[in-house]
Amino acid sequence: MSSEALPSIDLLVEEYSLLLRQGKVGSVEDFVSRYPQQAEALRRLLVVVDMVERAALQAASNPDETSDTKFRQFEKDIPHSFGDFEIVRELGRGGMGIVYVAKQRSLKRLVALKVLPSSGPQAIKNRQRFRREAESAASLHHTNIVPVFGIGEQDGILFYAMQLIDGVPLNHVLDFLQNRKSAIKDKENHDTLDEHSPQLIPAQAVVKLFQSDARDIADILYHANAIQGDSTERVKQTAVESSKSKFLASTVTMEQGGKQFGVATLQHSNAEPAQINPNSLLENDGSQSAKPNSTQSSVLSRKSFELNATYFRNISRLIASAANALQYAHQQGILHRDIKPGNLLLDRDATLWITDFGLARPTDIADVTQTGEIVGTLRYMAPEQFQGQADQRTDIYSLGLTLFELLTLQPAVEFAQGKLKYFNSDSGELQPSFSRHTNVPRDLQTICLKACAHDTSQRYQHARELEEDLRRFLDDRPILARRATPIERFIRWSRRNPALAGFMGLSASLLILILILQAISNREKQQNIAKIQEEYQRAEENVKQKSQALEDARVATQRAENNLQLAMEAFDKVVTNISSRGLNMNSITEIDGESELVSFADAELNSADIELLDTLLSFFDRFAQENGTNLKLQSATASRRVGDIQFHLGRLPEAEKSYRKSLEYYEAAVVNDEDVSKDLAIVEVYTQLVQVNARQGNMAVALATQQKARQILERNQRLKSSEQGKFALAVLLNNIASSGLRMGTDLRPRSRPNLFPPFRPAIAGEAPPPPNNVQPPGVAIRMKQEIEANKEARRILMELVSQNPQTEAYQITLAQNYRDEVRISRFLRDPSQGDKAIAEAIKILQELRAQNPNSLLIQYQLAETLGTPVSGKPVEYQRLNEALRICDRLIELQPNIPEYRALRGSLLVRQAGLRFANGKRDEAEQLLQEAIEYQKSLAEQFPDVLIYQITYAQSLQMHANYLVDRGDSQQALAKIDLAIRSLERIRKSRPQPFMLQNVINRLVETRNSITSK
Amino acid sequence: MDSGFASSDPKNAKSEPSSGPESRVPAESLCSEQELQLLNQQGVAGLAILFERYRSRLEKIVEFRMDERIKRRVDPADVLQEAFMELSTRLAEFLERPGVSVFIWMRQKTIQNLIDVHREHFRGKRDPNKELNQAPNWNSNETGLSINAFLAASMTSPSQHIIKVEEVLKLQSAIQMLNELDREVIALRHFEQLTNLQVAEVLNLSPTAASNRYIRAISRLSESLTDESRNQGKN
Repeated sequence: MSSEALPSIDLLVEEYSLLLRQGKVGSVEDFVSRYPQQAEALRRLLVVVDMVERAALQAASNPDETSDTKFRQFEKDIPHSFGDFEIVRELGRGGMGIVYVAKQRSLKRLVALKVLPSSGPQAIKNRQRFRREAESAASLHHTNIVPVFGIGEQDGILFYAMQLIDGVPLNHVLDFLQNRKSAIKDKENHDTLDEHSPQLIPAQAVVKLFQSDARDIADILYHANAIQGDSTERVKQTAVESSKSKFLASTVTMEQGGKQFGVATLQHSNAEPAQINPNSLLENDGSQSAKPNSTQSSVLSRKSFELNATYFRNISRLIASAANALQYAHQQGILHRDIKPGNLLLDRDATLWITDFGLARPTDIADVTQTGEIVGTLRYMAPEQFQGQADQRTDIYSLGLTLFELLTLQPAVEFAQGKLKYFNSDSGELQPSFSRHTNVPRDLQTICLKACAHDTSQRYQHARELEEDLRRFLDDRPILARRATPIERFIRWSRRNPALAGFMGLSASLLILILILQAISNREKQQNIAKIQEEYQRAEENVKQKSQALEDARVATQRAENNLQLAMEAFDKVVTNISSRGLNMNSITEIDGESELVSFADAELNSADIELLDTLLSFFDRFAQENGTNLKLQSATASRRVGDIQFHLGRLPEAEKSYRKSLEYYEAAVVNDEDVSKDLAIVEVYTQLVQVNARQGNMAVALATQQKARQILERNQRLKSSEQGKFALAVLLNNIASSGLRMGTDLRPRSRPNLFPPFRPAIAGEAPPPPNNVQPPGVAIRMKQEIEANKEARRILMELVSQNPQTEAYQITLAQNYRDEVRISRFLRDPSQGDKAIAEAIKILQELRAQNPNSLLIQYQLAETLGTPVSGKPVEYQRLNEALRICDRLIELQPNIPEYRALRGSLLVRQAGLRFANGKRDEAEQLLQEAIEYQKSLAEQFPDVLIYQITYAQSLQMHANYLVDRGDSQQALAKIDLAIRSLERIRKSRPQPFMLQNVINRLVETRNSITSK
Repeated sequence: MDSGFASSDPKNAKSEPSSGPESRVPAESLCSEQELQLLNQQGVAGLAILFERYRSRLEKIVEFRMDERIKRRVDPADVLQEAFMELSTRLAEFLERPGVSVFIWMRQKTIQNLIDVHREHFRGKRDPNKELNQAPNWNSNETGLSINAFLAASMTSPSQHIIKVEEVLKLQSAIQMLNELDREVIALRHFEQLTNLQVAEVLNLSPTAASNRYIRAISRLSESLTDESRNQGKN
């Protein structure tokens, strides 16, 4: 057979096998007839395959072959006695083994015996470890820890004996409360208890959880045990305490959807059944339920299971005792590692017992007969446990999740669609949420959330702390745990998710921010303040009350300030998280005492962001207005933020107004003479104003403002000589240079269409200089000033950098400065200057990168700089390649950041240019097309983002040029038209059409030149 | 663009349920990239999920390969459990350089574990052939025994309508006449029900080579069978 025919034969055989297994094919002939060309060979093979498969099928259907549950198989082997212990009956099954009630002969007492099936390597490998841990567990003596009596091995089967607890594990209680399993069978139908059959105990115990005195649980459990129990002694004892049961029975009422939830009451001669009228209580589907004189069933209502305050308190008490036990164990150096409801037992005295201390790890346990059981035991595992690390906080976490489940009757963690998801939270949030269960007392919620904080440092560090807070809660004292305000949570969240916050999440994070801010809206605060004022008036006589009122007002103001503070921090964070967009640097803000570069990319916000920023803006505005008198500094800052936002929304006149308002506040605010921060802030606002005016084309005002800013710097010697002051000046100067340049390109009229050279593609937002150096006169003067600014900024920055080699911000700004110089040199047609500048910039950035290998911002800047062409020449081959390499890596790391893709697009365009210049036209065109694809997708994805639309259009134009060069005018025209159309669409919605208009004009010119040929 | 979080961006209101691949594809058939992604994102938890999905197949494989003599004493489920432990310990290693598909990786570890179990139970009766070599392949000698046992089970099955005892006997002796590798390939394809690609991974061959091996094995089996028939015909 030829090697070509073989693979396809194999495929056919595979297909046949599959079909046969699914029962979808009748006979070999059936199948062979479908492939007449290969019939011969196929038939021969299939006959055999058919036999083998059928044999396999038949073997599989043999019940002896199917695996039995390990327990059933195992049980045949289980002896009835293990040394001193004689098995009485089974108690239950857990993941690790079966628990029996056993009699310890020597001491004549009943114990719980947990038996672990020995299996292959497991017991052998872990035997040592198991013994060691059992020994430590045995050394624990605590009221709430089930004592281990002994450990042994017989016939290869491991077992250990512990105290028999007359109680029920909390997971059964939860099951019952969650109505997941039907609850009660009466004694007659009492089966062997296993995971699947209901327990008699929960109903009464559970009801008691809702009643005031937790100790009454004791009775219920006791009674319930009596029913299920085997010893007559117990039954007698219950007679004495039966009065309580009467009370209990009368509180239960209706039924639950056809299923009968019964509470098995007493069945002994001393019962007073007459006082319990089963008929008045019963309402079932009429089936035979109550037999007179035997178990009477009453049914439990939904309503009686509404989680009430008493229930919460009882739960708190239970968990507090568990925490106490954990503290003790941790102090002995023993971790539990597998805290979960199934390991917490509730006994007749309403005491909580922790069992299986240190004897299990979650990954040991799997009841392999149940699907998803491995996953089930993973539900209470702490995040660090997945990494194999555990300390005492791990147990606290698991206890926290348990507490959550007890409070809400919902599992805290679920696996949905292959992802870990905390209950009720947005995907990606790392804590369960109480939002739907707001009747849980808030303090208790706080405690719970702190216990199960995802980050270990945010949890209670010791079990003792958890216990203490719970006790405080029970005593109605204030708890120590502080719930992170939504703002703080948001801040932490966005720190964890810079990419999300910076990209897709911007809208989301802003949305969250808005919601937060609305929550602390002025109205609320005003209400509080009004209330306080009322109080004040009422307390006029009473001085003491007055000062209290004042104090309250102060606190309220403080809180308002704090909120504002946090809101501003949050805003800054959001903005910082966009810092990977290193396109243009507009302002530096101080955050947390470190300078961080905040770069706003112009027109990079999409419409959802803009909408949300709008709302933010109104908040800050309101705040500033209403608090103008009291909180000048804060109002100044608020106004400034407003200005920032308006600036980036492109609303320049409004931004100017806000900045000026901010300046007013600043001037009015009184500060310490020594404090330079106010002046610094003022300078920064002026810097923004420079930008604002420059963008509007008011260069005169811009320059004047710049002057004013410099004056302030001069005026304040301290500031001027301070590092921050110098830097502020440098930034100021830098801004003038770069914005001026950009505005220059926008306004410069085109005198000739720019067909060639096609291998110098437009850099986003900038156009290549006109070929014949025509510039309107005003530009020349502006140019000069910008060059001056650039130079001076350079000087300052170099000084700063040499004195403060560690500060990144300075170096990055310096690199920016160099890049600006490159642009300048292009206009001046001085390539050597440009070369030097770019080399410097690259050097700086490379050094920075070496120091901060993880900084994406720096890498981005480096890639962008590497790809910057110097006047008259295309980018060097090597540099371009490296730029592309870096860019690709960035995209790999953060595929969601559009700037990276945009950069890649422009780099590809330049590469195309290079190829074209070397005569490799086809390659060039290919690269260009790839670039266009990138840019097209960006343009479509972000219809609001101007830059992308423009670059896309410009690349289309370039492609058109290529096509013309090739002689395909028709295609070229099509491209141009496409570009024009897409831009026209955008133009209508833009607040500032200048840039667009220019580009469109150029396109039209090109078009005309093509058609005129 | 799946970053693992559902975007709470109101624009992406369609969010998690419909955008995740798992919702469009039946749970069993995640492709290997998706599986790796799951493991990368969820670590051991993801491993648990995948393991659950493959559990019944792995159990069948274990049952197929397990020596008759220890079937009473060792529960296949335990072997799987131990295997899972191993897998979770080695997860990071695996993710660094996957090498094979997730299912095959699980299979290898499971079989390795099974070999350990055999070693434990047959301690003292060391057969040098049973020494574990680097490649965690089943020792081919054992495969023959496993196949025999497996086929034997088909003869004792209550349902005899799929294939007759006589045919199975023929098959049994015909398979015995094959060489080790042929038996192995057939066992992998038909008794473990692996696909050709998976067989290639297990045997460390290219898919084409694996395919060729298989076809040749079947051909030889076919010849074997016709010889058998001829012999029987003579008798």
